[in-house]
Amino acid sequence: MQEKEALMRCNPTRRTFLKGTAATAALAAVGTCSVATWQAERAEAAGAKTQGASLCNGCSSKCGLVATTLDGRLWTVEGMEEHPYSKGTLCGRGHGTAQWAYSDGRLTQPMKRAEDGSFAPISWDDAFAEIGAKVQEILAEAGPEALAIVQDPRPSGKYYSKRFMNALGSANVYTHAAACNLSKESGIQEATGASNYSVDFPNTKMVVFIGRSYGDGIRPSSVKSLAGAADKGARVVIVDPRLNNTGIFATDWVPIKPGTDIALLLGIANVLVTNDLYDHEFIEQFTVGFPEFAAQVAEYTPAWAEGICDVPADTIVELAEALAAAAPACAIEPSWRAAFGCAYQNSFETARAVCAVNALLGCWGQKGGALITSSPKAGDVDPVKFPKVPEPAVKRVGDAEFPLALSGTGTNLAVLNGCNDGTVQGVFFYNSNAVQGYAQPAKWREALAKAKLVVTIDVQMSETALVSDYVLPECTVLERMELPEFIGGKKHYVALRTPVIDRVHPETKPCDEIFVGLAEACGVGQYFPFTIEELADAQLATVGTSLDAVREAGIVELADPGFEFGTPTFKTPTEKFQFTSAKVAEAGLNPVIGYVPRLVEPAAGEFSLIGGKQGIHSHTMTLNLEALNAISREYQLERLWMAASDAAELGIADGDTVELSSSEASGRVAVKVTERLKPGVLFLPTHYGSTSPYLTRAQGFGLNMMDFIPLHLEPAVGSTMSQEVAVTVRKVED
Amino acid sequence: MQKRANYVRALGALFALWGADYPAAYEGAQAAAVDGLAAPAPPSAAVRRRLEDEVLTLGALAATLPVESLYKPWASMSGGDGDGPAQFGAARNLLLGDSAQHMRALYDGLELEVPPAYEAMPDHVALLTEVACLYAEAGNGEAVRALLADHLDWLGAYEDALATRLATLGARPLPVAQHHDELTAALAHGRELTGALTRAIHNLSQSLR
Ligand code: SF4
Repeated sequence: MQEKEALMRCNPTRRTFLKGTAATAALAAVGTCSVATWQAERAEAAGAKTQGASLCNGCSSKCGLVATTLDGRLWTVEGMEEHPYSKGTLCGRGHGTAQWAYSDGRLTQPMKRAEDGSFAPISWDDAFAEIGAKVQEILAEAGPEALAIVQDPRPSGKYYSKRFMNALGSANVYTHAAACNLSKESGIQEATGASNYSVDFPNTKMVVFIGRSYGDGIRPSSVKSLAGAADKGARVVIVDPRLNNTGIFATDWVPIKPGTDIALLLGIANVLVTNDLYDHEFIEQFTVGFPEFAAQVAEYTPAWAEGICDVPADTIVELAEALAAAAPACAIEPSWRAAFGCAYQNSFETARAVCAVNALLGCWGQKGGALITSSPKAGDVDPVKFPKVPEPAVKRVGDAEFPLALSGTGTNLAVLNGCNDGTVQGVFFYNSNAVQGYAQPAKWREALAKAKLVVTIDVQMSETALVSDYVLPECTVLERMELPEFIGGKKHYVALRTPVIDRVHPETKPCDEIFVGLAEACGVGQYFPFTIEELADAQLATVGTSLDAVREAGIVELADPGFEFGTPTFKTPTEKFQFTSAKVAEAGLNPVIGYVPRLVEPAAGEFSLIGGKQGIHSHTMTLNLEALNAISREYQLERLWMAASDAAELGIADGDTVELSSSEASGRVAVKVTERLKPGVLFLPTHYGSTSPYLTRAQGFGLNMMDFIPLHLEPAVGSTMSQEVAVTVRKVED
Repeated sequence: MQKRANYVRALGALFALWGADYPAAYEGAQAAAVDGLAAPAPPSAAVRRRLEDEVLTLGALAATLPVESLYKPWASMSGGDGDGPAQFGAARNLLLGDSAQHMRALYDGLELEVPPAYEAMPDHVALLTEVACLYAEAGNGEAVRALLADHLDWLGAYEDALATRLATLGARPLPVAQHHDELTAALAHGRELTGALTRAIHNLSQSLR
């Protein structure tokens, strides 16, 4: 009692912060409380060290990691040896994002936006109740089809977001893909029946990259595979207006005019067909539409291609002949976002053209060629314990207008359009900074301002959070468990994200708890009568393992899928590789793989603007992290790249500030003058230009490329056409 | 020593969230002032609200917290067992660094509990000054001296952080324009509080020499 009074007397306002009655003896003890003493003691005693397996969230690769903690505090993270993506290594942003739990830039409690645009904390209970009431209002007035969710898929997020929306009766579930790899995956799907493939690097003799850079958009295993192939003497060709950071492994750099890769590919196809260098057996047995394709491709001579893509005809012929000589141990790499994930009016068609060249080379399924492998997935779980959600009655908004968009992703820009025309009134975002990255931010803001309800779930106050009515804080990756992640390829695996440290901020929640809370508040809690552990265990049981086993090991190899080299089964409607597609014809486009120009042609005095990733950042997500932001600033990574000859002509020197302008925006940024860029092209990294005042390290640093891009969608696919723009640049005199 | 420590404590408490009760906290600090030092006058309710909501709350618009870990390298010790240091040990602006770990160990020894609101920041200045005051109450001058030297030597960096926040405020568009003036005043008041606390700590540590 005496101690308690002492504590109170200390404080003139009679309010204490620490709870309890201070131990008198300890307070009076001499020489025990200094940091030096404590550190010395700590150095003696081996702290309580633990190791836990989990999955990185620095990007969507979700590499396996092993975290070491000391007395509950994160000490180191390392790449998991057994995980097929990390293979023992985490990339730089993987290490940087490990800081997230402790970052001072996090959201720590739910926030609500006031009428005046400012945010104030709100309790979870109140936030859920208010969101639930708004959702009921929208359901009553406009029906479930007026609700939508946009998410960048993560193991739990993709399951819970879809279940939540479907439970409400809405089919409007979208991924980020329209601003990522939608065109590429949709194109590959139409040609091959699979949305992606991989190159068999251990056996390849020649690989051609169209814009993609493993050295910039890093996944450790991809870099290792490519390095291995390069060491074995494979020819590695980089087709890119910029000599990107994969250059270190490359034998050739083919600078190309942005948005014209399709002309190069069709030129190569022309040589292969015209000079009879293609694989007759494959074409005859496994494809449809070759005669129509061959007739059309006759026009696409190397000279024609040179006129469009600015790659010399001789180079095109040489590349085609070299590929034919290496076939079938060669491939055009499938790419990701890069040059035709979502960049141009012809991105979908470019992806089909990539597939067509691989078909002519007969490399599908061959050693050293293009491999279509399978992926495992969870089987059916007990429908009583995990009740089935009825199929929504109304089709997803946007599917009619964009029939070629991959069904698993849809186009999230349909949500933007839907807000504008009133068909969408309530929008949820999970792990998605759509406003800053998926289309022009000003257009998103305008559209979302018309919605009756916008809810964002994130770890930080992103630009999307800033225009939301409610912002719900998720705990960071190393603090949460998620559902099992299934990994396909030549072998099958399942891995698990598990919490390796305690939650730093008690008022943050993991994805599953947030969605269950939302579901209950919205009146559909009956579809979530299970815990994440129960669901994970049930899913894992369907593939012959258990939660305990995967938790313990971090990753478990599943039954051998029996991969063998050889022509794969093409899961297209014709069960063949498709040079022509009925679905493409139905969408009103040329069914035969052929030429489509880019939409915006820079005029004299204008430049093409291309974007790209840097190895230490993931889109706009990682920019505020202390360590990664510091690297960007140290090396001035926000700079705009300009070819030396263009700079000389405009009187611009390295480091000068320029004003970059398009029809949509203008902004100032420093220039990096380089020989590594094709003249007539500017390169802007796609991470910078944050406008959220909450992201104190990121805000105002560099430019956001999407500010410069007009809002226009790729026909029938719905991608954001992230590079369909012409820009001007002028030196800013100080 | 006790009176000087009380004053330090009272000023440290002004960095906590008081809501509508804040005038009492300022009255307390003014009443506790010693040796001719003057405690800052209370700001207007609007400014105090901005200070609490936008500056002294984690995750807020202009969050600049008086938490020791943010202004010191995150971990400087080796991991023991022959392990190297923590992988981002040199980084700043991270919570729960060495200073927080040490404070937790101290609280455990003193049988004191950190309330949930401070779970991520056991080295918040309101708590640090409270412990200094408790040691003074127990007549343990050496402990007070060690605490001031080890844990309250970063207020200069904190004041710089507030100054930087203030300087960059104009360049950063805020969601609500009319908050700008109040927020500017709040940050300036935060600096005033920090200055007063720095002087009070100096006064206390001088007296312990
Ligand atoms: S590639 Fe890098 S950031 Fe992405 S999951 Fe792997 S380690 Fe993390």
